[in-house]
Amino acid sequence: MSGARWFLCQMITVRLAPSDAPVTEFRAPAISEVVDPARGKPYQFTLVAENGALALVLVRGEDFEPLATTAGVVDLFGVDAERVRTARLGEIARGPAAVRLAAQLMALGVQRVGPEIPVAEVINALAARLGGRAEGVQI
Amino acid sequence: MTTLFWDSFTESTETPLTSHAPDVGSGWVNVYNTTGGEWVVDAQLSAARLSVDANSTGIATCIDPSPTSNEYDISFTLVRGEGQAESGTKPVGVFFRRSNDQNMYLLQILPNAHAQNSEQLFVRLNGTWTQLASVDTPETIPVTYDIVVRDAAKQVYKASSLLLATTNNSVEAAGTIGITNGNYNPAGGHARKNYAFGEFAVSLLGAISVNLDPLALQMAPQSVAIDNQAPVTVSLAPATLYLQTPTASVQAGAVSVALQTQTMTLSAADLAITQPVLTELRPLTLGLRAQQVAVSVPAIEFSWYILVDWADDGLFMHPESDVTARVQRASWRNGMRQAYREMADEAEAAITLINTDGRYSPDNSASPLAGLLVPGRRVLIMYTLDDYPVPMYAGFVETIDPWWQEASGAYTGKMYVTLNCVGWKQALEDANVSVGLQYNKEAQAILQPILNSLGAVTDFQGGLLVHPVYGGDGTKRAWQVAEELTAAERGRFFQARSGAMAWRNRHWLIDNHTVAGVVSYTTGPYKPAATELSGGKYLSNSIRVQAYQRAVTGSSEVLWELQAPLEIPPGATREIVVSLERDNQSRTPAGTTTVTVTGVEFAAGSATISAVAIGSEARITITNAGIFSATLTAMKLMGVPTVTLHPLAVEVQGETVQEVGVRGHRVLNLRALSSYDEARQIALYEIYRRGKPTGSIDRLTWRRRGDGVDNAHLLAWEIGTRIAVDNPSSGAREEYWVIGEEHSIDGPVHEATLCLEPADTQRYWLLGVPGYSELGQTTVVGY
Repeated sequence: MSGARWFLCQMITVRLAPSDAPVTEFRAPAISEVVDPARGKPYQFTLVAENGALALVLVRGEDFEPLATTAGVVDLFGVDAERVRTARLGEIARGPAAVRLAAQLMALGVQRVGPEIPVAEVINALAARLGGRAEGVQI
Repeated sequence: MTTLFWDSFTESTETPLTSHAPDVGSGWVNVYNTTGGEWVVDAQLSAARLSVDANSTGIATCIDPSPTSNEYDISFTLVRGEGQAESGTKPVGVFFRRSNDQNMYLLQILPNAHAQNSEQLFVRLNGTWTQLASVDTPETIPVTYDIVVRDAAKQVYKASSLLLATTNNSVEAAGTIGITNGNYNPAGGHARKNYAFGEFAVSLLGAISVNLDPLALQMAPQSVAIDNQAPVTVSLAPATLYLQTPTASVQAGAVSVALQTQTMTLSAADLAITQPVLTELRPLTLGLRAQQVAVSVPAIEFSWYILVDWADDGLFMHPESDVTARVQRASWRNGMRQAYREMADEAEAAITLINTDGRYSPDNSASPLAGLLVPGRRVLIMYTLDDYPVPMYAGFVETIDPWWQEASGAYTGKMYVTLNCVGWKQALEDANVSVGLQYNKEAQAILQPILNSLGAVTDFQGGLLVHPVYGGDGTKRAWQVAEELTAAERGRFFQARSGAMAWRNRHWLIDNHTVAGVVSYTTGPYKPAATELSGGKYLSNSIRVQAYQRAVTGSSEVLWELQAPLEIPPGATREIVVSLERDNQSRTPAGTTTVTVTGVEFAAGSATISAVAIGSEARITITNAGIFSATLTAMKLMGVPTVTLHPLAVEVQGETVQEVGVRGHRVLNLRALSSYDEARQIALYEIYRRGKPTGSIDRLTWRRRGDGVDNAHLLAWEIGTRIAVDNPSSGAREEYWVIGEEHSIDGPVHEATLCLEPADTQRYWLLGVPGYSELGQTTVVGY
């Protein structure tokens, strides 16, 4: 399903080895190496914040299925970024999914993870914990 | 905006770019070129393109002058040069805030047919490239890009549509701005003639004057019905104004018009009413009609969850992370275990897991968790109520202990493992910190940065006590710093259910007058299973509060001296961390803000020496840039040290030994406190609350069904909650604060013990609040 989603993923060193140019390396979120099957190119993204190990990334894609099985990549809310913009946590995740989300957020230092908390507040808090800002970010 | 640079690339004949004069600005300067060719201004195209195609090469060229401030707008047009777009790695780009080749931002544009996305934004910090954004858009040539460079955000527009935006600001200097082709980037590639730069402009932020025509803000005619002389309220709803540049790029930010309300008295004759809405006004009657309502209580869904971050990535994504189904028993505790303590005990947990297949045995190489069963893994205990999660405990695995039950009955052959967990206390007790001199700061301003630097999540209240001078008295354990500051404040320091290290000031509990529930031994839902009482345990009818006045002396003295020669090899740098001491080697730690290096002597060679003070330590850097070894034989560090004076003690006596029958002498050694007045107030308050030998309840225990209903109060009452207890020993109702909690779950049973502290029943002064502001009647002046 086409759209944009919020992901947590590990920062990695990308080794780019095009057929016609020397190998080069740079740091990037892990999703940058994964190809969106609907387009045949890497996912489009904006790196919102990173702490050296983990990154908060807004990803645009046509088909998010490959990211569900990529190690070190977490689809934070599992729904489109547009929907979470005005939603509260309790509307986005429940049961085991909500427990895992709360565990991830708390492990990263986000303390307000109750069902009544606006997701936008959670994203901002998460970005702040990872040393960045999420306001105004779009893709 | 002020135009810093503008080039329309107008020439009558092909001209090297570095010889070309832009419309505004001085020119172009190459900073990198391995192409063997150069940029040329193509007279036909009115654009700058490369003169050659050259594989695995690149060129980077800056505008002149460079910007003087770091916030600016860049606008450029990409046009077709010679040849068509290719699928190979043949990028062009624009860089900005480039301090040097190691530090800059770069917008890289690749042909759309390339396997990578077409537009990518990178930052290079100290030589390391990081990809900040990557988007893929159809190639439309010619096309104009706008880059808005601000500290708050870097935005790239393509054909006036926002393409990407990042809040990264790791490279802050204004730097240089320029164009690139080929491998001056993290992706490598080849220099090609097929892309060219058309117009290129840079505008600096300047004073903006905007004249808004008031007539542009018009309201549609409103129809209103008014009564003669009746007040009419005219309201202007909030509105948002957007500013646009001539190129239609929407600027960041908006002007917001706040809601304005004015009340006027008008007569009907003053208004031109287009049409009457009401011909007469009738009073409305509001009422309620009783209805038969069916009430149904939905079933509550309640579950416990216990998670372990085995992969240690903060994501809890290992398939074995959720251990709930294998939990045989779990217990945990947070907070203080004894009344009147400021510092919490360790937040501990013990989680027993069924381990019949040995998956949790650290020595089992066949386990799916092999290699991951190590201390330090994050542990979370939560519950869900109607599917919404609530944390109860957060800590870290300390030990993993497999064990066997004696073979008998249903447990024959069963095998278990217990995860013993701890919170932050142990780590803070192990961590050495050197607190530099701090002036006029509250506890949170000193302690919170220390805890954050150690990785702890914090939840701090503002302190009420200001420390005129703190720190500079040696390296301490982080826990000791917390203890000194919390004790001086008379606050609380504990690990909250979320795992955050919570710090509360001395009013936190006192201000909480809301009783969450009344525990009765005969009626109501909170009847406890067990009670622990104490009588006179906390009695203190004699209090001594010791404070420590500190001041910074005005004279410099030797705080450290080299005692043995030091050899620095040629070309080498040596860093030494030394402890600063008063009276030179007296073992009395001394803190200072600056140190001066003096008395330097070399037996051979020479070296440069610098020193930086960090609290009661100094970091000395010695660099020998020569070609011979240097032998340093003498060196002193001078500085103005912090002076710790002798303790200042306040003693207060409460009721006499004869009156209470026992002597309870207590010494509060408050190392971070320096004020006599504060010390006296603390002593008086301690006597007030502990001076009478009354009995009190220490702990209450409940044993309930873990279904979210029967144990609802055990989930809701946490540290800081105020409850009332109909005390069976005294017969009177007494109020307590919850200061600690212990829980265990075993099958369907949830057992909890709350540690209590007698609540202060005195009401303190709250200005203007009835019941809290009648001095001497309902309130007293506290501290």
